[in-house]
Amino acid sequence: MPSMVLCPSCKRHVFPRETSCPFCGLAISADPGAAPPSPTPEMSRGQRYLVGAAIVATVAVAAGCNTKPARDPNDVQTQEELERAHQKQMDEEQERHPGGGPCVNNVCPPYGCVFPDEACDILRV
Amino acid sequence: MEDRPNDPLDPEKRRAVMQATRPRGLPLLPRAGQMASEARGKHLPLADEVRAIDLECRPIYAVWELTLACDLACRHCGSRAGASRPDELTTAEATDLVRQMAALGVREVALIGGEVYLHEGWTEVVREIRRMGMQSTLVTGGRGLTPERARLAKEAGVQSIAVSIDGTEPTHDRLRGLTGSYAAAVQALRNAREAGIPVAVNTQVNRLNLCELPHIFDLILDVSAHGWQVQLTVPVGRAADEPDVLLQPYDLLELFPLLASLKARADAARIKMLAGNNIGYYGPFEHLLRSYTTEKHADSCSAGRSTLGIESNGDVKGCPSLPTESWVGGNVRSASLRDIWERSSALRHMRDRTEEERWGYCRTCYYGEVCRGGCTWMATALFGKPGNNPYCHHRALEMQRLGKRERVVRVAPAEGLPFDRASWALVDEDLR
Repeated sequence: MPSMVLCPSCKRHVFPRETSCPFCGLAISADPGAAPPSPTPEMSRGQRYLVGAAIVATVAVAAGCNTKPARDPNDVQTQEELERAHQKQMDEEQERHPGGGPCVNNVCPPYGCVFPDEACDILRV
Repeated sequence: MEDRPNDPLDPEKRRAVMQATRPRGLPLLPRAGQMASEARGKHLPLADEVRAIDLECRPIYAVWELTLACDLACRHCGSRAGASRPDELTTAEATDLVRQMAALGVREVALIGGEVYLHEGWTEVVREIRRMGMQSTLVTGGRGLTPERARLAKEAGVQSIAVSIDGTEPTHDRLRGLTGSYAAAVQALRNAREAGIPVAVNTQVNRLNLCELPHIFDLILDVSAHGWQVQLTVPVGRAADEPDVLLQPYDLLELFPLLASLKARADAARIKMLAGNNIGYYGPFEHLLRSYTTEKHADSCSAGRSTLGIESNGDVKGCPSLPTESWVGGNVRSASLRDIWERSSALRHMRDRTEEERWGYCRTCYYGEVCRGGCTWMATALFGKPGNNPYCHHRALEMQRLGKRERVVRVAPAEGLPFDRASWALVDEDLR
């Protein structure tokens, strides 16, 4: 879902691609109070975990390069192996947090979200 | 504006609607074998493969009609509740379903009816929900929520009870079809509170009670409710039998400023006022009405993406309110909940939506790519398919800007089955 920003003048949601509010004409980029568009949607817990894991893996590989002699080419992880490792991590994450996928979104249940604070905590994984 | 909201009904019309008798007689439910799901074949084959998107989507909220048995026969009830369905799940089947929900990742189970407490195993079901680590909440009309039942609910582990309040006493009793139902509902709130259960209020907004919302808010303050969820009355089931009660799309021009002012009062009183999924979309009050969400605005329909609905006979839908006929993906007696969730075409629908699904005004709407026509329940109730929803504040404002408004007109009545729909036409006319 594309991120939207709130026009500070007319309080309508507008797409960050707009240079001016289509409802009141205010120049969106000219207003310092306007929230900057988010470059990417908020990451889910699973996505953050994967990014963290990738960083750790990169650092580990880099550290290994600094402390070890060059390995035999057959000893280097291939792209396919890396992808398999990532998939394994994703599966493990899914097992641990079955509700943490990217479809988690900010919606209220039908018939009422009676614990809105807790629900929002869940949704802000 | 909040103190004196305009009544969409003139006094004469209001008197006529208030005094109107039920347009359709009871019995409350058709005989076994005539339920919509049975009549139309709900057991479509499941897909062979589970895709990545089906694994990514998990049901956070499950809304479960535990029984269709009800001690009320509300005149706006979408499921036409009254008698139980002929093939409802037994307590053993229901507790097994609870365990399947937990395994699938459900976090909160809201039990609805009918009346939950009329199911013989309701406390066992609640206990199992809590034992499996999920939140347990309950929605009730409140007529029979006695101190004893409230105590049982507390002992079983119910964490919040939402009671439906639909206006002042005369209006509530008219909508619920029973004199004394308002007093019972208010007493139910007090009984739950005295049993130590936090209480909330649910309200359906329509032409009879729009101008009474401030009164309901006063009651909420009086009973110390922690939440208030409002949604529009949707023309399904018995509500489709009474078109004069339903809001017209242009009534939203009156409703939304009122809701915004009530939201400000609710925030000040630390009451969580929640806009239901058919309250929208993207108008100038959206950021206020959905201030509790991360994005401060509505998302598109969550049915089958993060919401799960279950009918009392084990039929599974993406949203409890969607029509049985076309939105049931399977039954837990013939397939596992996981298989139905991941592999049925009905549950996959919202995961696979494309731009092509939007039509009418919503097809070219500025917000179309994020809104996707808003509440599928409302769109389907009106037109039999999602993707075009005239009950939209932004749309009403745009029509007003053009000197126009939209009006819905019933052209054929509903059949008389749970969650059925009438046929409606949409009329564009000059703003008066």
